[in-house]
Amino acid sequence: MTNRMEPPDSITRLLVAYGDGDDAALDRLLPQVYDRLHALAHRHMLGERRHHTFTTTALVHEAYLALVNQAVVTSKNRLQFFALASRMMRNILIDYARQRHAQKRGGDAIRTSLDDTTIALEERAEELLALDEALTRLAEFDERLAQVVEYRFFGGMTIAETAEVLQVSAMTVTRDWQKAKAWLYHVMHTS
Amino acid sequence: MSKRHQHIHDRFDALSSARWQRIDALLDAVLALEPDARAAYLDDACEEDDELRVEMDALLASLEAAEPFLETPAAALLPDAATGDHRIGAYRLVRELGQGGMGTVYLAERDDAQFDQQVAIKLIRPDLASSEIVRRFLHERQILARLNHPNIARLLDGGLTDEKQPYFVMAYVEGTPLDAYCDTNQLSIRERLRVFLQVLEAVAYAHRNLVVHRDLKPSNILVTGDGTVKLLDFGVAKLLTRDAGPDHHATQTGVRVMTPAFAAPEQIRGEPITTATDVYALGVLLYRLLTGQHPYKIEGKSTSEVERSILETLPTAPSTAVTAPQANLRRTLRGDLDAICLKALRKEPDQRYSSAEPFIDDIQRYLGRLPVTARKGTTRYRLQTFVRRHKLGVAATAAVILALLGGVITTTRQAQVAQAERDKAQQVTTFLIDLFEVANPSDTQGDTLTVIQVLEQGAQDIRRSLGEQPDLQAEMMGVIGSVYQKLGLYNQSATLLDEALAVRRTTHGDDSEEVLQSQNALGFVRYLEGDYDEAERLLRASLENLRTKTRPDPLVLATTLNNLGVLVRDQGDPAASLPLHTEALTLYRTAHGNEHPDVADTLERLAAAEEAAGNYDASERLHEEALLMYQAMYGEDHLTVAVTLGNLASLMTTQGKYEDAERLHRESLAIRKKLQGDAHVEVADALTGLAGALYSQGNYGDAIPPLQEALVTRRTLLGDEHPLVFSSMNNLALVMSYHGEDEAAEAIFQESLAIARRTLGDEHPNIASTLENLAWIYLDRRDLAEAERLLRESLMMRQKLLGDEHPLVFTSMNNLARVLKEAEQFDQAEAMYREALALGRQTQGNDHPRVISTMHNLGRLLHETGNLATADSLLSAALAQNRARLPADHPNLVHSLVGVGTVRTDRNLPAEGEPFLREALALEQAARPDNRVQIAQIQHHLGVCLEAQAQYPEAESLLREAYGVLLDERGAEHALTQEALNHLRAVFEAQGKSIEVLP
Repeated sequence: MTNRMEPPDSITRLLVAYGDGDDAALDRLLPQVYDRLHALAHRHMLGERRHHTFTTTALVHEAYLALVNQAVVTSKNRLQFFALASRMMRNILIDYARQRHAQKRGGDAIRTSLDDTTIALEERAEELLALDEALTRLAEFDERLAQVVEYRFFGGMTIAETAEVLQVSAMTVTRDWQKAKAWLYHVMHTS
Repeated sequence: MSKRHQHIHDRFDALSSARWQRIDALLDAVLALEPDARAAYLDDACEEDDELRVEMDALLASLEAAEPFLETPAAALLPDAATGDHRIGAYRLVRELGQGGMGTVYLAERDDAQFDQQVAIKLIRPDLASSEIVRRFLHERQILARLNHPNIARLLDGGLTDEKQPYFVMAYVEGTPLDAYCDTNQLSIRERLRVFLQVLEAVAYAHRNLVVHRDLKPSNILVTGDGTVKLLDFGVAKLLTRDAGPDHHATQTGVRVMTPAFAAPEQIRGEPITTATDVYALGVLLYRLLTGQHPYKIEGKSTSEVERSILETLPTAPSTAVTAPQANLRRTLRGDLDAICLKALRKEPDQRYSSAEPFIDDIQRYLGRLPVTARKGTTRYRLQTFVRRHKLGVAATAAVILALLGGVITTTRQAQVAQAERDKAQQVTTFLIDLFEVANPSDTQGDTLTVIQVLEQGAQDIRRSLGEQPDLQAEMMGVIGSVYQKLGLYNQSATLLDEALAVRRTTHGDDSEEVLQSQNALGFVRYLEGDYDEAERLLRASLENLRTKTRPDPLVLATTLNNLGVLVRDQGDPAASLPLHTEALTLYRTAHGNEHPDVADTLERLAAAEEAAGNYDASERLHEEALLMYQAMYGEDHLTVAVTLGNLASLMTTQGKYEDAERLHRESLAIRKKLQGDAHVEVADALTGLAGALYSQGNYGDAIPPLQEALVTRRTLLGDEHPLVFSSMNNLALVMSYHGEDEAAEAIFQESLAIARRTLGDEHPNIASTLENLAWIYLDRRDLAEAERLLRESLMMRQKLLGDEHPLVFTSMNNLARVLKEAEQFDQAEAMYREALALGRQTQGNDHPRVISTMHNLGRLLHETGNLATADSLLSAALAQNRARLPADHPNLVHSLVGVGTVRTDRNLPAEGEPFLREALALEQAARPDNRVQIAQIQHHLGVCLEAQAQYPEAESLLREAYGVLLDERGAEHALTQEALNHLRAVFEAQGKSIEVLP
């Protein structure tokens, strides 16, 4: 009964607990964030783009606003959420890219039912898969660089937010970001 | 794996971790260098390692190429989450109109066909929309929606999207920004000033309604095709600004919504915002309209440079800002217009025009070729020095006071008839605004004065310093008195109004309109204060005086009558209030015609009086008449209509017409939801009303969902700590426990207790009530120990907080005694009943029904514990009291009669008990013939009584009948059934009959 009356903010509570040092909360937090993000991303995938004037809020921010009770969390919690969600977004998008890629190669008539933005994802599916792989390997050499890319590209986080999560200066993040992009670009574009 | 993947794979394999560290370090070093120096550095560093050099060159080339790479976050690859139409509330979005600092504006339309209305919807940026802002937004939306002026684009609606993002719905204005309009149409200076006057009028109107715009700029001021100025976004900036008010945490970072180019110094410094802040922005605007330039030459400057100029640089006079070829323009601007602009642009808010109103006066003076006040320097010198001397007030406080003053100032303004009146009103307004806005916060030694301190000081100053201007003095006393009244400080209010009355008596004479108005105001405050006698004396004196006049002001007379009517009604003589309201109604109808808000309001008062007088039908008709009028004036969907429907619903509840009440509540609720959205405190109130109607019908199950909805809304909007949330939880828990959901009810009670303890501390009357409610649930479960513990805690809390004499303490004692008795702790139960009885007699009197009931209960307890003589005297006394208070055939006498009858049987005085039992049986059979068990019990008691008198045949027949019913209704094992059987056996034996013949 009591649960029924409270807003569904268990993600918020877990997030706060995690921020307070309860590592066990993370295990329960991750699957929930993943599920919600997945649902949200799926909604985007299915959506028709009718009004081009609508700019898409970065999905992770959108998820954050939808899932987390902002009155309760601190800015530290917020960044932790972004960081977690960035990782999740990477998984989700790569999964989609993989599906799209497979469909395209299957050569069915799916294309006719897709509108242009879905095509954008499809066209970039291969690139995304390449990026994912390059990123995985980059992490083996320099984990922080890979994280910066994850937060910035998949999570849509700003330099300042990334710096705060990684506990380094914004200058360092800017430098890492440049290096990571150069390196990824290099390995992905030179053959 | 594709070719590309293979390629990546290979490259990674070629890299060792050590090599990457080398590359990484080199990259850091190279990136720190200017691009020209990089090649030389690499030549040096990679001298030994050609492959490294190739790698580094490739990476540096990629560095440039990768500039835009990955810069668009991945989420942008996804299409929008469009699920069919884009809708907000009842509106469908058509297209984006623009993006601003606060969010995105869309063109939208209502899609119910009856309103073909295009609107602009401003969706507030999610990061600005904290829950606190949402709460404030909901609170202030109504104030903003009331701003109704031809030059203000109306706020039509607003609410929260499904994602809890606030939005505002405004009238859609198609127009040109003010500056572009003036330039395109090549307006002359005088023409520009006339357009600017429209802007000022709109701002002045808003200022009178205590709304400060805070973000005035050309893009917020549009001119439509027919030349009408429309101001957008009124009050919106304030909603989004977090002040460091008393209920905000000091650590919270303020979000300032402003446009630097138009921001006043106090906005940049984050200091309190007043009407003078808008005056400043208007000054910038006027400057631009007159010279085509910004006062601080901001072109090409960064935000911080602009801010520094605003804080530190003095603007050049408009006439010197325009370039030499415009000699004519220069001449026009020099002097008056220079002075007006510079006055509006003063860095110190108190040196500017205090609000839009005096700004208007000066522009009009200029247009009318009269001397402008801006040039005269300090015509209000006296007042200003007066105020400055006392260094009163802090703008934060002033804001509160001004909010309270709103109505007063407006009323004063509406009263402007003669020039003298107008001047006085102006003086009062100016004085007030100065009084509360002029002071520099640093002058108050850092301490923010409370509203009350400011008012006290204000009152003192008025007494001391305005003695030579009695008119102004009395007016000011009246104004401050009204503020006190609105704060609920009726004592202080009455003191000032009393003084004002005395001043006016001296200056104007007892019969003057001024004295009557003061008397009226004082009378109403006395009424609010609860001093009905004095209120009546004053209001009647006013009324008599008005009656002696040949032509009394009909509106003053009507107000007096209505005030007196409300008073008389609350004095408990609603019948006497009827003619008063009726006369007021006639006066209003003569003055305004049949359809007017005053008429409808008076109808509602009359309806309330009829309801109090018990004339429910008449009350209903009046409510309905008012309702129809409101609907005709305001349309079906109007808040006043919803309020009236709610009043009507309450009337239906009073009459026990719960189904009608339910229907009306539902109608009221539907309107409220449409106008106020789901998330509104008043919607929650209406839901609670609906639940009440359902609950009263015994429809507990249906009452639960609205109560749950109300609770969720109140919790969301008001926070856990609000008393209404507490009351919602308790209502819900009670209804749930009636509905048999004891466990859920207990959970809610416990939760509400926890919240209450956290927010109210361990002891609070609300907590005591919850403990008591919780005890009933434990009593139902027969967990008597817990029930007792809870009731004891509740009792002690009430004794401590409310004092022994409070009726609730008496209630607590009775409840506790009852539970102790059920727990068979008879001694303690007796002591508690005795204590309760003594207290009840002392605080409520001997003949109070609840005191009688305590007496009866104590008697029954003593009967059971064998103290028969005392039991008899108590039960007899209770019966006597009840007989005195109730009609002879009232079924409530049955308990008392049975009590006396049985105790006398047990005292071996059966003949003295018999008549009471016979009377009880007859009463019960007549009043509740279907109540078979109760009748059987009385038959049993009478049978036992007759058995004791050896009247066996009648005893047998009564006991037989009782036994039959009890066997049927309660079963053979029930104690009552067993007892009846035992007595029946005894009667059989006494008559020498065999038990086997029993049915």
